Amino acid sequence: ELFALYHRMKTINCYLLILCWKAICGNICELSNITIAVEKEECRFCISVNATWCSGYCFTRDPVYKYSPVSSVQQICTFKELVYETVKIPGCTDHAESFYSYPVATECHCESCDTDNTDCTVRGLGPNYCSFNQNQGKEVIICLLHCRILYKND
Amino acid sequence: IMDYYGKYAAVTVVMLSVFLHILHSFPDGEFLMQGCPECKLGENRFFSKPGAPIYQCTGCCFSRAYPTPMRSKKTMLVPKNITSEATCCVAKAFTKITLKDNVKIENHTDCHCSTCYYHKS
Repeated sequence: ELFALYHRMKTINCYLLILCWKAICGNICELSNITIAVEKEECRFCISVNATWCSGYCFTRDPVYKYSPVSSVQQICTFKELVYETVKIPGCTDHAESFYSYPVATECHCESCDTDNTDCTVRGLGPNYCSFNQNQGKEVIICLLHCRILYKND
Repeated sequence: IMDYYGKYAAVTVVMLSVFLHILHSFPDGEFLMQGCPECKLGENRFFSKPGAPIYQCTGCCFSRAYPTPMRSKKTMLVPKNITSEATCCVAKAFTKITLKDNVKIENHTDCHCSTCYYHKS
């Protein structure tokens, strides 16, 4: 019985350690599930694809002395590691199916925004933006692969 | 065995105390961000002098990153695969202070999460 209690306490300590670590950590920038829209312009529809990307809170400050050096850089929630995945986009009349590669984040952190590969803005169109008007031609087609066509224009 | 039991009991109590202390040190609502303090005024100890405090906006704001929509990429001079939407803790209102040697600084009086100006690398 004492051994059982001993093992239980080890588990409780482990959980408490994780809880303390989470509580102490300053930034909460982490992976979350999102849906992105992939457009097939020739066929005028979009497909919906699930991916993981980065969102959350980062600690920032506004410098009171505006001419101070780079140390006052502000950090934002962005990717630390990413991979590219490929999805098959169905075809339509006169257009064959095609493939599209999109980035998926595998790790996130609070860091400065890298303008070499990132469009650093305040507000964008959002990951689920589709150019084609939802109110025209509301046929929904379910693809066989792990994607779903949102709507199709006739 | 009793030694181990005692040791683990003590460690458990200590960690619980640390956790409760952290929990109670956050004002209501802040704990929702799990340890990331909200954007608000704090004293800038470097520029503050006795009787003349200088305040600075510091804290956490929301940001996210995602693959750039195809529509947006078409409008870019140099297309980027990733889009970042970010806000930073900045002054909503401030007064200007001139220190000796003609050094001009800001004394923040109100804060909010808004456009970042120093986040690009």
